[in-house]
Amino acid sequence: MSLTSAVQAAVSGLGASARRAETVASNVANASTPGYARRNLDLVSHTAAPGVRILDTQRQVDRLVLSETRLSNAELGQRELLSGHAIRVEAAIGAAGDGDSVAGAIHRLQAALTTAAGDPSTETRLAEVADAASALTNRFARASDGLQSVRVEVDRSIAADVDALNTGLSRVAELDHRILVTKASGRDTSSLQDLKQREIDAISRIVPLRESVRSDGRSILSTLSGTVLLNGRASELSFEATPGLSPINPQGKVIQVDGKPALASEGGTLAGGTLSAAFELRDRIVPQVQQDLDALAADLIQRLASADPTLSVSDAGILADGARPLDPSSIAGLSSRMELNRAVDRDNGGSLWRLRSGIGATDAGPSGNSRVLNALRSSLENRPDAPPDRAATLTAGVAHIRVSTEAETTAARARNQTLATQLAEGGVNSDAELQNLLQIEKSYAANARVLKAVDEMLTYLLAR
Amino acid sequence: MTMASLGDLAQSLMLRRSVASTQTAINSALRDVSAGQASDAAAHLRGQTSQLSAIDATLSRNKALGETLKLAEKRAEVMQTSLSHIDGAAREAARELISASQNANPTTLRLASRFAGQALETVVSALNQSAFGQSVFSGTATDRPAIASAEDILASARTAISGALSSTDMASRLDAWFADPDGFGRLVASASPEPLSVPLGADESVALSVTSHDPLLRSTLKGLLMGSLMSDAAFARSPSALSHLATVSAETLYASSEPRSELAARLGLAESRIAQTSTRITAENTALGIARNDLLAIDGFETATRLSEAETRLEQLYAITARLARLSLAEYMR
Repeated sequence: MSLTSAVQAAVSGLGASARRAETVASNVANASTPGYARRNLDLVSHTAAPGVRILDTQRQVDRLVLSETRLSNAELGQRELLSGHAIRVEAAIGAAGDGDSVAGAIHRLQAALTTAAGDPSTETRLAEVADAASALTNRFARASDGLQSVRVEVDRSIAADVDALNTGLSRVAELDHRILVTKASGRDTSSLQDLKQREIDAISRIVPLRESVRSDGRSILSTLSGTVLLNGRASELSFEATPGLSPINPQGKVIQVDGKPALASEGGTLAGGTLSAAFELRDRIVPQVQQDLDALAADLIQRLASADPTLSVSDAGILADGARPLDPSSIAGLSSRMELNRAVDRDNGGSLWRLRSGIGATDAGPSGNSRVLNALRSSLENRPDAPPDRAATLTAGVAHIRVSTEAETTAARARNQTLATQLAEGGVNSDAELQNLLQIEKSYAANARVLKAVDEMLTYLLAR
Repeated sequence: MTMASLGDLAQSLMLRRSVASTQTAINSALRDVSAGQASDAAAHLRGQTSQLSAIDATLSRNKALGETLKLAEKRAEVMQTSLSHIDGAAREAARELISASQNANPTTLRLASRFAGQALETVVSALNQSAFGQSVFSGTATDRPAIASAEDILASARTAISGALSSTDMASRLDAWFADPDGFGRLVASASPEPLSVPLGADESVALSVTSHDPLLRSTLKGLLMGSLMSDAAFARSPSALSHLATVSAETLYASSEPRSELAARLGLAESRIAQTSTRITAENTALGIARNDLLAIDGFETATRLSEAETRLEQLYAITARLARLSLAEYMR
């Protein structure tokens, strides 16, 4: 009877309104939840009988903006890591204009040699030369330590990132499985899909990922170069932090994906993202600065040694490699080994007058003799590539790295924020939801009214 | 029914970000204004910091050099004062000897001789002057006296001239004695013939090249010695011989003023080079200071404008945020 089908239609309308209200409630409750995709109820009219049928709860996500956001996340992660550590590299060498820098230590030694050359008889002037040289060795060691600690930390962050990536990939695989199971039993999978989206967003900082969805709803995650990291089964990445990473032992380990080595450098499988930045810092940027620093230390040691006429080629000058003269074949790590020659270190059995008469001199000589001090002074100023100029170039180099990576980070952050805002624009709008609610109320009331009317008709029929 | 809707989060994210970026702009403008110059030098210079480093290197070098030059100026001043004392003593002794020789009075001649002896003591103490506790005429041996005492000099010279037969003989014996490393040489052995050197720049230096070894001092000493040792001259017993000896001493002393002027001039040359370098350094420091300020300078007016613009923007953002919070359908559905 058509009255029965009218009842059925009204009931289906009530049910649809109830579900719609539930959807509105869910949306409004999650209006501020990041990663929540607005739910939309897909309604279609019954084909066989009058009424409404609920097709599906759909998640409203702009997939294009989402994938762009993820790529931008990777770029932002990469730039932020680079600029964060670039500040520490710059601090290790010292900023331009800062007295407590590697360049400043060299200036201090030059000044001490000049004043001592003008007044060699005064012991305090000679003491200042020894102190300035000592301070220089300390500053170089401090710079070297700073650089090494960046390398070690970055190496550790690679290990942490690889762990996070492995965990994330396996979680996504697990969520995919649960989504399939839940869908098969007919329940709503939207919350699980929210979780999956959040999980992929998190690991997209480490390596830029592209997500493609298979027909059964499972995701395929691949890198920009096309290497598949998740396809039903998550790939396993492995990495060991290098013990004893140092200037002498500079080689760090490489990541392996399912047993095959994968590079994170430009154009490599894992390029872009925080892994990429970490490898660049560990294997290119910091070793280059370390090399320049060590070369500068070698230059200083060599110039001061050859300026002293009382020394032969195999003798150590004011600055030495530990207790030995410079060995041109072992310059790596020299910055932390450079020391004040014990012969002029008054805390270590040396004598200050050797600064004036030469380290190899047999006696103190005339107290006003400035010849050796003048030679030492000139040796630090002889162009080309005098030590202060090389220090200035080194300082400018690390300053440039810091400033340019900071600028790139700012630009990447702005792009990321724009994309995030765009993504959020498709999110829950409380006003729209409340408007829907008004409509739902009306529709519920109307359906209820229809039900009441049909009920009255039936009662009238049956009561007769 | 689908409708174009703008998610809540989008608006709040955008507002929050605008507030954060405006606050950052305010902070950086405040930092610049309070420092008076760019607080982050490398960012201000866009990573091109070599010029700043070079300026700092030169300023540090100049500071050390300036200190050294001041020291050297003082030293040279002490040396010039000593030289003028020596000059004065020599001239006065010469005057006394000449006037005594004209009288040929044994008493006046003896007094003149004693005067010459005192003049010798003045010369010796002038040569043994020190600046900052360092002997100025000892060359590089600054911790030792430039010349022995007047007594030791007289004793050694006395031995050298014993047996002299005439004033000419006395003079030539003294010349030999000056050249003798065991004679006069031993009296200035504590000093070094190598002069003190003053650094003037990268590879430049100048020497304060007057030491007690200097031959140009010898004629002065010779004249004073001849005058002081008049009573020891066996050949000069008669008043006429004595007055002749006094005349010869005085003439030697008069002739010695030329080498003394040469010494003073040589020292003066070194002094003028030191002064020139000092002036150059001061001018360079001023120019470098200006250049450094220019590199790091920020336009105070522009920064202050930036600051007030950012503050206004922030206030506007706060007003908008408050207004938008009230603009919600939920408010009107009560």
